[in-house]
Amino acid sequence: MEKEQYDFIGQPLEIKNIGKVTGKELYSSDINIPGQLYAVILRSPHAHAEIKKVDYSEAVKVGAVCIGPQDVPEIIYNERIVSIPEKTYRDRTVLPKEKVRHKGEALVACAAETEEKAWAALQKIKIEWGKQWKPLLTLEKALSDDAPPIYDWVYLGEEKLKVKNNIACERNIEVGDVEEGFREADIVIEKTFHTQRVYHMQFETKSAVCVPEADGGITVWTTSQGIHNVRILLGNIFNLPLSKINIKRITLGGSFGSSIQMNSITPICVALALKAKKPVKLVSSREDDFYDHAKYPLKTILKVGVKKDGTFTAAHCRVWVEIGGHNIQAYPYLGCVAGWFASLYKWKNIKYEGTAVYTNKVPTCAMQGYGNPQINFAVESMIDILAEELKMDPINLRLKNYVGKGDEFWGQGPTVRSIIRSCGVEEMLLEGAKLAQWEKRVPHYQKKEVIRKGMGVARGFHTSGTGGPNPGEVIDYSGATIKINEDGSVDVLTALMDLGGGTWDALAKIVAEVLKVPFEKIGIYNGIDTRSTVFDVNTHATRGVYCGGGAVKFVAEKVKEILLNYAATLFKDLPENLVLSCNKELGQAIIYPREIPENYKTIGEIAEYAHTTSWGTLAYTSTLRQKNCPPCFITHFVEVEVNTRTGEVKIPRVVIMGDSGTIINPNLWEGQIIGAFSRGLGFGLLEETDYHPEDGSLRCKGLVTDYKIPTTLEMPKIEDIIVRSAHTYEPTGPFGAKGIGEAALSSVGPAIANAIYNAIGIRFYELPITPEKILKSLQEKEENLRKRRGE
Amino acid sequence: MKQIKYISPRTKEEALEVLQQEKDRACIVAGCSNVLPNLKDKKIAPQILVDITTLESLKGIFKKEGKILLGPLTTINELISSKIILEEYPVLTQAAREFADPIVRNTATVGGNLVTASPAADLAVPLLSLDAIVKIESLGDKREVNLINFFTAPGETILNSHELVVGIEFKQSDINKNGCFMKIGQRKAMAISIATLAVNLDWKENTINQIRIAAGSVAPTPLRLTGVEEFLKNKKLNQELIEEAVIKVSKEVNPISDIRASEGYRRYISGILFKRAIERLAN
Ligand SMILES: Cc1cc2nc3c(=O)[nH]c(=O)nc-3n(C[C@H](O)[C@H](O)[C@H](O)COP(=O)(O)OP(=O)(O)OC[C@H]3O[C@@H](n4cnc5c(N)ncnc54)[C@H](O)[C@@H]3O)c2cc1C
Repeated sequence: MEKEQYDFIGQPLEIKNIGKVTGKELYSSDINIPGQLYAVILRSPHAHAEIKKVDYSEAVKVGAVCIGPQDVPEIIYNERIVSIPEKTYRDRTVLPKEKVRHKGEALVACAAETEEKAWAALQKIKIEWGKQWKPLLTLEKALSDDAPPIYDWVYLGEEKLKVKNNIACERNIEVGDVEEGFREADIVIEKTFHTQRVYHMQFETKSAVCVPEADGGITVWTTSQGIHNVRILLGNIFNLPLSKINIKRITLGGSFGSSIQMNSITPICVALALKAKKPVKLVSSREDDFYDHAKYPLKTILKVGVKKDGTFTAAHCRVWVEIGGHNIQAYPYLGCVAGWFASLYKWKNIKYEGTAVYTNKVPTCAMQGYGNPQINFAVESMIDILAEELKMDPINLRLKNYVGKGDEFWGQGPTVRSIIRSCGVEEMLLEGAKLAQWEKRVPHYQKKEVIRKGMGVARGFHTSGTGGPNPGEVIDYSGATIKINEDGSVDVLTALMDLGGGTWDALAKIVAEVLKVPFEKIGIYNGIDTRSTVFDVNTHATRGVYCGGGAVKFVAEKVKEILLNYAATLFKDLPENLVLSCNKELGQAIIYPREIPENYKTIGEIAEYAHTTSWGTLAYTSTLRQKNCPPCFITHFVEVEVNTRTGEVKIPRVVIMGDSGTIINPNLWEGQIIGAFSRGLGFGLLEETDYHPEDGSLRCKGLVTDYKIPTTLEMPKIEDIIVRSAHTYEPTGPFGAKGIGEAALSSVGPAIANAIYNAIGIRFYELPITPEKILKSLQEKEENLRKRRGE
Repeated sequence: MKQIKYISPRTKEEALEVLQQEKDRACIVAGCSNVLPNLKDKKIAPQILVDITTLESLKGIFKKEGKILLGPLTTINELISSKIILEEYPVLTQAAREFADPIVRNTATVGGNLVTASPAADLAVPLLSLDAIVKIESLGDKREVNLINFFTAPGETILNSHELVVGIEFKQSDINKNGCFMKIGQRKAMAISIATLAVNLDWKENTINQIRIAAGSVAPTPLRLTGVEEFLKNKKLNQELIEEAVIKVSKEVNPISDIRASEGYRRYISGILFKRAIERLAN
């Protein structure tokens, strides 16, 4: 595919949306409605207890409006409706009806004229508890035969299912014959890996404002990655026609996946507003937020068979995830984990068994990668283990077996299969190795210094969206209305969210490129709601540019057709004889008959003429389903310095290679990659939400004082973060583009673990690799050496 | 919610009078970086906030007769930018540089840090190794306490509710000139210390004349490791001695396990911090 010449795509972006840097940007918590009440939530002090009675009469006496379990609709739902209904497990109501299932679960809510009054009212609520159980906090405890059931039954689609052994759902997949595959292997290795629960730590905590309208409908501003799904859910729960619900699209202060589902506070706010018949505002504190969502952990037992020449013969992957007190999306999660696993390497024969288990902890959900960083840690650590066993360079073993161009790709799990059409894996591994000076890497046993250097590599990918040739279990389409305004500027109305990564900028650029209208004349940033837009499923699965961008490109092309057809009547020519181009001096798109550029008209003139002659608006509305979800690839080369006295790990330098096809916004693309590296550092070395074993509370108490994410000081210096792009073009993507966001995180953890191994010769099977763990392992290693020497 | 009264006295005397009258009901506020979080957390419930930040007499860094006097309202950033502190008491500059972040450093004060009496108070450790004295006043009364005797328990000091810290003083001396501060936390900035350690050393021809070692986050209060100090006094400084002392440091500290680190790690790491510090000073 030859490179096209672009006017806007691939140019560094000058930030036009300056609301964020000037503090003018509005978030849900900035919305204030005259006469609004302020809401606060009483959260469960118990991790697993029966609710006998909730009495808020005293709170009502001091002027609060309250809702408790008895007031919320009976509807049992799943807050995440990205999967098709038949594959959606449902286990929750707006507030828990019979029992609480994790400490910090929302139980009662009060609204009053001021937050102080609401808090004071909250103190007066009396709760009578029934039976209480010791919290089940680990897989083993939750699965044991004498474990109390967290649920007796749940729904899958319309079917009522009995829950056995606290197993929320399972997923088993077999391709080929693994036993036969293992017999063919020269070496078979099995290892167990653990990744931890981390907290999303998005800047903005979840908030909602709900206004009950005169017609019985509601208007809602809320933290969300997909406003249409929020509307559908609220319609279902509160039995309102969707035409009476309007969800405003509002800027997000980060999310990392924690608002793919409708946030738990959103329907609480709505229920309060409907009861109070007044606007209600509900803003979560950080503590509320900590008790609301976390990243899925994963336990993986991975067994791989390989021949002496490095060809894989079979892989058996068993995974368990303890999901906490609600099943937000564990079934597709298990499917995706299978997909990430199966699409990394050509294992030949595959057996996959996945089990999700309820525990009495904070419910887990997607977080940047949806299982990808978790399973990638196991697979990419394993590749290094195998390479060492085979005495092969880890890069060569990867090159020999990776799933690449022309291969089948499972993307979003086993039901979404497609063929890879663009792939920079080889280029990234080889070029990255050069930039990282891989050839200078020294084996760990040659290192004796106090501070030991090491280098590790790991690679990963993520899908761009969730589409396939045939629609699978995941709903995925997007759409837009695009109109050329009366002065030639352009409005783009799309429900697609920008999570802070610059998705709207990218979409504006795509429209600018199609219509040749200068980027700054594209309006996309505000004034959008569900009523004014067609459906978009969600900004998740790294689909913003590929799916959302694909849809706006499709619609923009239709508008272009309308424009050229209309212009043809003015030029008294045929549309195919007209040229649309960008005139940068004029700051306008212009149209002229081929070969006669001096006869141009600006589209501002054309639009104005359409307006003054009452011809109409040059506009189009439609939706588009992408029939693919191409992998965007990533490769991390990480250098570490391990201080063997303190166990501290420093990262002096990193080389990151990304493959996103055509890059729409190079500076924002790089920002995604560097930002993800910082989060990966936290995942690899630092972060974990620990629980108090007795009462099931968070040991950090939901405070950032004791939940640390890395700062810039933990990062390598800017000049030592080397980011490069592969030279690829995705034929199915808008202007050849794929995604990046989640891919960028997937292999950070194992790259660090592999580098630490290269530095000190100790393999870590569990994240985070903290200084204490390193020190302990070093001491054990010393001891073993001493014992072996007979000292 | 209860109403809290706020007073901003114009003079130190006025402040002392208010404290005398209100005693337990009052809470002095300086940079507020402990008071505000504590109020929000409901760890304290004062009825009156006595804002001392306008009292000029409690501000500044003064040099006089071979001594340095810090006003309790000296902010962390003022410490960092003080030339005299850097030249004569580098251990304090080093600790100040690792304190919180630039924003907190603009408001947080030395006095507030000491009176908070957190086991992890970062300035207490270098001030202990500088052998500082705390100057205290109340209405019509004055006293001085060596910082060693100032802390009594986590969050507690010998200070009475009607007393005000009016100065922190330490001597100009060879030992105070040669100091080193070490800190380890979960990350490099904005983290409560897992362990801190400060050493001030006076030595000649390889022999230790005098050494002061202070440690933080490894006991109920910031403390001096007097046992190790005794052990090292008048000894020849060599690698063997250091190794021995490292073990003694690990034994003398008295840490707990918490969410940030285990007891074992804190003991071990204190020894390592000591080793780093003494090696840096001896080179
Ligand atoms: C984000 C953040 C980061 C932090 N990082 C660190 C850190 O890295 N290291 C560290 O050690 N601490 C840290 N702290 C804690 C705090 O900033 C320090 O303890 C600071 O020195 C307190 O000073 P202040 O002036 O703000 O005290 P205030 O909050 O105003 O007062 C603290 C206490 O001291 C009393 N007090 C103040 N001045 C006097 C006086 N002259 N006489 C008698 N009593 C007095 C007050 O009554 C109160 O009890 C941090 C705090 C925050 C919020």
